[in-house]
Amino acid sequence: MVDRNPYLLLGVDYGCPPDDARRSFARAARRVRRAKNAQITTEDLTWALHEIQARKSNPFDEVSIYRVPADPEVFTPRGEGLFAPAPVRLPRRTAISESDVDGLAAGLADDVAVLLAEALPVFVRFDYGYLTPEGTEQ
Amino acid sequence: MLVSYGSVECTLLLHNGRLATVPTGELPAVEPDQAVAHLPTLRSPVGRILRTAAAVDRGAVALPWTGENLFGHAFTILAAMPAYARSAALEVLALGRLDLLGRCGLSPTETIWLHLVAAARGGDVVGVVSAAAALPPHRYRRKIAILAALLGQVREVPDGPARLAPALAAFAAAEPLAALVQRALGLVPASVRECTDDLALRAAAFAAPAEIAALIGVVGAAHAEPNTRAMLGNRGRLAVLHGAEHLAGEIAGTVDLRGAPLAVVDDLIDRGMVTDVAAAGAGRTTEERTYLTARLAPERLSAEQLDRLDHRDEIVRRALAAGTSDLADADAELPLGRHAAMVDLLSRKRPQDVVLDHVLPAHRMAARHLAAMIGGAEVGQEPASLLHEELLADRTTWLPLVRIFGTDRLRVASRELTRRFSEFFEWLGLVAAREHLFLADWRRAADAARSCLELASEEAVRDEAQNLLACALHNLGDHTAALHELDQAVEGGYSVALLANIGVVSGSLDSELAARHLARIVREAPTVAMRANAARQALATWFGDSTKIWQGEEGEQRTLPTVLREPLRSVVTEGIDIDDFRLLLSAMAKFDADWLTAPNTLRGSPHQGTLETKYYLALARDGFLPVVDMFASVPNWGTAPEWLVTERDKLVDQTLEYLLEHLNDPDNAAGVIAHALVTKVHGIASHTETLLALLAVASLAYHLSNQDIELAPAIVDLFRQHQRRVPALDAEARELPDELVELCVRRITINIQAARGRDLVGLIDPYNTALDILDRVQRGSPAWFEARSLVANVVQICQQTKAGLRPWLREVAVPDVRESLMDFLEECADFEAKAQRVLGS
Repeated sequence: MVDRNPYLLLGVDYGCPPDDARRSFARAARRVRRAKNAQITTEDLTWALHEIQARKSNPFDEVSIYRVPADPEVFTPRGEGLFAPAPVRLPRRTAISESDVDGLAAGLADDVAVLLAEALPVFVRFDYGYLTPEGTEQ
Repeated sequence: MLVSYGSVECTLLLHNGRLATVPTGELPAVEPDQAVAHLPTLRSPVGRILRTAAAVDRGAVALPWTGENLFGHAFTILAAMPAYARSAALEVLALGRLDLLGRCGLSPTETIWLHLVAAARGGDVVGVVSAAAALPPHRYRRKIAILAALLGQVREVPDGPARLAPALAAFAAAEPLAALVQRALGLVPASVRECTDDLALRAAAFAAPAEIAALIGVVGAAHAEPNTRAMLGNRGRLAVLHGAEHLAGEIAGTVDLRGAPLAVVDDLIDRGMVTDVAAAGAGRTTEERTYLTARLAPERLSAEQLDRLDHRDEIVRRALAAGTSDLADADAELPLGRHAAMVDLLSRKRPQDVVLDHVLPAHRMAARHLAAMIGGAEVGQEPASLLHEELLADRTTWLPLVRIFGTDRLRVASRELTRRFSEFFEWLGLVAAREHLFLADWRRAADAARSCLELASEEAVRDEAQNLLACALHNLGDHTAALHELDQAVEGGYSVALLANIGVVSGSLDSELAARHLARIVREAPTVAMRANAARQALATWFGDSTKIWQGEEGEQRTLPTVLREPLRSVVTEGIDIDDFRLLLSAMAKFDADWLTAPNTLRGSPHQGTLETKYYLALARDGFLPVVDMFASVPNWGTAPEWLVTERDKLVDQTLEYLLEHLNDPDNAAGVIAHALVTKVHGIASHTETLLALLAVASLAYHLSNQDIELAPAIVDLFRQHQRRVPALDAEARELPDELVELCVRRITINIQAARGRDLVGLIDPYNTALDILDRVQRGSPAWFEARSLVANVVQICQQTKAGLRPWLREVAVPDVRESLMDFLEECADFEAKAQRVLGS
């Protein structure tokens, strides 16, 4: 290996948290044992785990270790299906009441009342009740 | 002035104020009266004089009589004609002189009625309420209509309802409008239905515009024209939206749901009229917002929010998606709980136990195919041959397929199958390549990545495949090919990770290339920390390449290469870590000093006022003395940062080393630095300080002696100060200081002796001249005294020289120097003796 890459050694995605690396250690050790002609030793894995756990800076700010994968998204097929059904919307927990409906009707009535209040003074003619020769009360 | 006009005779008002009666036929022609020309037809015999009086009052016309004088005559004449009282009242109302109504001869209640109508016409609702309340409750039924017409405004008058209550009560039984006004003013309770009916009654009674009438009642509003509905406020639109599903497209977006009851919002959600979480939750409590989010977009809720809501279905769904098979007992009977149990069985390769009816209907087919595939593999069939289109259409099965069968068993599919499910197999190639990289099986990783590239068309997948292939090639030692793959990948779409990987790979190829790529990261990386890391690595690469002459370097002097210069300049002023700042500054102080020391270069840096800035700017200013001055500004080295102590000690050590090797160089630069370090900078170890001081004195003494310049007393004092320290040193540590003390004594002695020698040589000519004068001039003359004074000065200087040099004679160990000094002192004594004799003669 050109550069010792702790993430590759442990078989985890670049930048994974130390806890994930710790959990991967046993899996990686098993994989190394099972692999024929494995070029990785348990010592390599121990070193790799220590490297990741001792890291203080954000690995995504580093530029010295090869990143595998470069785009983790492509490894996780997106979508809904058998193993990940669609989100379940909560069934309603309220019931409409008569007062709710009345409130809506009252709201509409209030709006119309406002329109009438604006319109009627303009449209209605207020007369004094006197008859005049010309029939109007100007 | 014509006061009244009749068919037989008319009454004229004369200029003297008296009235005169003339036959109507004898009246002269009437001139048009411009002041009243705009008013309606005259209705009463006093109409003209009333109008003229009002015009006089307004100042519109100038007549010999006052307005009140004319009004008085008019109402006097009117009193004699009561049949014209109402006509005159109309004239007064037309003139807008309601104040004159009471003089028209009408009853008080009729006068109030006229006031009421006039107020209604003028929009004076307070006047309307006052007049209506002042009328007898049981009379003037038409006042009810006026109140009903102006209901919206009447409601706003303080105390209006209470004042109108008697009048309304009086007519409530017989007049529907009175009962309507009572309900509207809150004098009697009213149902929503009654309110709606009242609106309809008012609209009909007053012939309200048809558009408004159409909006009364949800059903009516729902069938009104869209433009008409647009007149409604938010509450009205909400009511229509709730009552008329077919209008959702028109209204839904315009309704603000802030005040709507939660149940109403739920209705709208159920009907699909509300889909936006932000709109539904606006202005609501946290709890209601969480509830509405669960109703519309449960995927946005946190686990805690789901727990608080006890939304079990979504909790179970998420557990399933995360691959957790442990469910609470209570969840086992939920549809999703049963589904999760079946998925768990499939994952554990137990298809025989799967009850397909327990799988959610939408995913039953995929479950059936997966169960069949697992079953077939168990009886020896090749899993790849059992792949089914309907199964692979469900992308959530891809990872479980790899977990159940492994990449190798799935990748042996036929070419035809691979082509049919190319999307799955290109993804599978990626996964396989990554697995091989994890096992350091570079060749198989490269093969898998290439197989992916053969199929993949989507850019993101191709880029990742090339990234994995490059990793494999890089580890196989084919860095050029690796870099080629990465270059191609990064061409398609910008990726910080690919860029960083290029930096890693190119580092194995060529340091200049690596620095070039790292410089690109410095320019383009999304975070300051990443830019700083790239800058640090680029610098390390540059420092590590001592043989290569890069573009931007000039001759022997190493300056930052062009490719690094601008990126480093940009990153050094950013908010980088102080350690990175120090590292970059240290390099730039050496290799980009001109830029660094230009005014305001570091103005944008958060580390502008730090010790780092002060130190490296001093260093960049091309001189050790500014650095010493910077060290001198540190008051307490006990609390100084370690790096600064190191830099100080480094300068001290370099100075010591240089002086020890160049003690016989006439150049005194190092001696000046050593002197400055000793006299200005605190905190240097005592032993080191003494060595520095002695070396400084020795160096300066040598240099100044060569220049025929005498040492300053302060230099000699510095020597004495540190000479006294030497005996206190350990025997081992004393060897070098002892040697340096001897050297200093020797050089100081030589310097002082030479200085005094120059003094005495300078006295010889004046001394000889004085002897000549003493021989020639008369004793006691001014010239004689002046010459004797000069000789006495010689005596004094000779004595001072001997006194000043005798201590050094005791210390000088080198015979040649000692002998020379003794000779000098002897010459001095001779000179003094001769002078004494001259004075004694």
